[in-house]
Formats: sequence, C-alpha cells, structure tokens
Amino acid sequence: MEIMRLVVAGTVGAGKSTFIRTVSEIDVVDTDRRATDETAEIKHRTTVAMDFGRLTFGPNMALHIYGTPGQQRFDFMWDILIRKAHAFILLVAAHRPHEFRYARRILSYMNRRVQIPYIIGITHMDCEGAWSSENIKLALGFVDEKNQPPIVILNADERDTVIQAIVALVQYYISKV
Amino acid sequence: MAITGSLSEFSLPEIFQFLDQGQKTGILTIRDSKDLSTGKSLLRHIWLLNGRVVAAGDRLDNRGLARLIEQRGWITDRNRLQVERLITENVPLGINLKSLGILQPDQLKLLFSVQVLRQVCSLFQVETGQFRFDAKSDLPKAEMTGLSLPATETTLMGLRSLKDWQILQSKLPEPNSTLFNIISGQPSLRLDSSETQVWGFADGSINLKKIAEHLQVPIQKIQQIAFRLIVVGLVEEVPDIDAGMVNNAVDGAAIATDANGQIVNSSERTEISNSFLQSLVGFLQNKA
Repeated sequence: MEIMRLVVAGTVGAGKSTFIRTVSEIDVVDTDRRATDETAEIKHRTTVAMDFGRLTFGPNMALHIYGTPGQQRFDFMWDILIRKAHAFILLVAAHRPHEFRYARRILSYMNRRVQIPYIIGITHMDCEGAWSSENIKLALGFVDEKNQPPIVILNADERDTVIQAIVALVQYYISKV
Repeated sequence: MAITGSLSEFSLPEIFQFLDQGQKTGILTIRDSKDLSTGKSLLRHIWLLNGRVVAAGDRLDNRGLARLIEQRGWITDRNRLQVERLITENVPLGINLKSLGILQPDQLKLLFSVQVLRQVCSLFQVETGQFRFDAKSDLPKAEMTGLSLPATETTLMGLRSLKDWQILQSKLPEPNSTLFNIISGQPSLRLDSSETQVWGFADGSINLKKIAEHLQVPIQKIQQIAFRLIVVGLVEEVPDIDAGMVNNAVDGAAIATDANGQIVNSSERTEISNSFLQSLVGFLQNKA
C-alpha cells in the first residue's frame, strides 16, 4: 500500500477537525476531549491527541490526513505526526488575530524540525473582523514576496474548498520534490 | 480596508511589528473609553509612512505640532503669519521651519521626542482599548517634524520602559522555547546589554529557562527580553516539546496508528511515486 501522509496543523478553532471530517471517507478517528487550558475559552472540546481521516483512490493507494492537537502546547504527539508527514497545511482563522502569534510558533516549530512543503489555509474569511490574506501573511512573518508558501482560502465545512486546498498542497508538493 | 481589533487580543507590539514589516502607510488610532491607569478616556493617532512612525497626536485638526511649538515659545509675533502659511503647505512643517531658520535641528529632535516618543511609548502601558489602522497615503504634513522612527524601534523603546507586563503575559515566549536568530549580520537596532546577552543565545542551543539560569536572571525577565527581540524581528521563538508530556509518550504512541493499525514511530518518511501523485490529483479533481 502506497500512502501519502498530510498533516493539518493550525490555531484553535481554525477548523482542523472539520477539515478532515469533511473530506474523509471513513468516520474520523478523533480524540476530542474537554479542553483544559486557555483553549477552553474558545472551544469546550478540543483535539487532545490527533484526528485521522483517509481517502482511498486505488487498490493500493491512499491519502492519510492527520490533524494536530488543538491545545497550545507542543507535545510528543506533534513529533510523532510530523516525522512521517510528506506535507502539511497550516489553518489560520482570519477573524482571530490573537492567534496569529501561535500560528507563527507552529510554523517555526514545524520548519525547524522537518523540511517538508506546506501551504497556508485561511478560514473564517466571512466572519466579522476577518483580516485579508495579504495582512495575515504579514502577521505570520512572510515579508519577502519570493519566499512565501501558497495561500488558499477555504471553508472547512465545504467539501469542494477542502478538496481544492488538498489539491493545492499536493501540487505544491509535486513542484518541490 | 481598515484593520480593527482589541489591544487585549492583538497587542501594540504586534501591531507595530505588522506595520513595520508591511511598510504600511496610514493612521493608527488607539481608543479607550476609560484608560485604567488614568481613569480618563484615551484617544491617540499615530501616523506612519512606510512602516516608520512620523507623527502622533490626540487631534486631527492639523494643529498638534504647531501647538507644541507655541508652548515652547518658538512661535513669535514676527513669524506667526509665516508659520500659519506653512501649516497649509504640502511639506512636513518641521522641514519648512528648519529651512527657513525658524527651528534648529535640535529643536526638531526635541519636538519629535515629545510628540512621538513620549506619547507612543506611554501607549504600551494601556491595558484595554481598541485599535484601528486605516491605510492612506495622504498624511498630515502639518503634524510632521520630518523625523521618523521605525515602528519596531518605537516598540523596543516602549517595552524597555514597561513596568507592568501583565497585559502581554499571554504573548511572551514559553520558558521551554528556544530562540533562533533570523537576520544575517549584526542587528541595526542598538540593543541594551541584557538584550545583547540573550541575543547571544539565539542559536537554538538552550531554552529560555536555561538562559535564565545561565545569566542568573529571573525567567520572567528573560521572557520579556526575548519578546522584545521577537517583536523587533531579530529572533523567532521555536517551541520545544512540552517536557511534562514526554513521560506519557509511550501511552501516546499507541494512539498514533495508521489505518492499518501500524504504529507510526519511524523517523523515515516513505518516497511517493510520481504515478501516485498524478493519480491522487486526478482523483481529487474529479471529486471537487
């Protein structure tokens, strides 16, 4: 069986679990539990270990999608997930600027540990107070136009936009390897 | 499009970092119906040109800088009409006054310090409030001395004098995070001795807790210094694995199984064939 593993990372409430649930062919294996840290102020339940979804597209071909834990600490689970990942998407909620710094932390963490292609997925663009994708890029520290990952705008509840985001990630992976 | 928000969510150092890195031009307005430190309402306007702070004030009538000059007795009956005319011109007032010999360079520096540095640095003490940034190219020349300072340099000065860090507590880097230098060469900003010391550890080798032990400085102080270096764009914070969770790694590994029940514990990622990738893209595009 040939498997490509993608990781969905992101800020609290950006839609990581929903993203996977929207596209997975199997019931998502989730590990949502009552949030115990500051996350509880945003969501009562959050992913404490990981989410797992799958898409099979041939007798011996499958795409596995893993969601990172939602709480704002980097535990062993992150390393377990990213060690085998081929690429990742960082989901950022456009209407929660107070989470942008955490998104930067995720990027720093990932990029110092693994050198794999990634894209930025912006969610909640239709919410009040949403920042534009240009400004979010800046807030995430992408100043140099030449050195920026692709940005996609998506709604984690809408299957088409989630699939388009995965296509963008896979195509970016193809262009990088 | 205007950017709005609450200072408790997106702090002033973060705003300034954003405006500096984006080389933004426009007006930043800070408004608080009741400033907790003074008990009075607060309204400040900060004008930026390409990410540099060029003027600040609490009014929009183009009279702020002229008032500061007048308060210092530098507008006399002899030059009053001339100054009034210059206020309406589309050139920074300070530059015009200097070229006509009405003000000297040192006087302009003093005005900039009073008008910009003092006012903006005090905003870092504001605990609550709303901000709004409107990008616009038309800046009020009558409020400009002609001097400017990068927004992040203003941040550095403001944070050095910040006494109560409570409002920024959630923004500070974690004690078990490391720092990585993200610039080449020496910083263009002038760092103080404590910043220089912490900067010396920005190679990811030890975490903030260990830096604090090494320098024999409280960890909170090191977190504050590290935050300053982060928001001025000199270093990045790289979180380390939560040490408290590592002991549970054996239990956790059991959860990390793939669809075939195999434990994901190898550090090697498998190669993906080109035919796999093409099939995957085709499959996804058909589903969309």
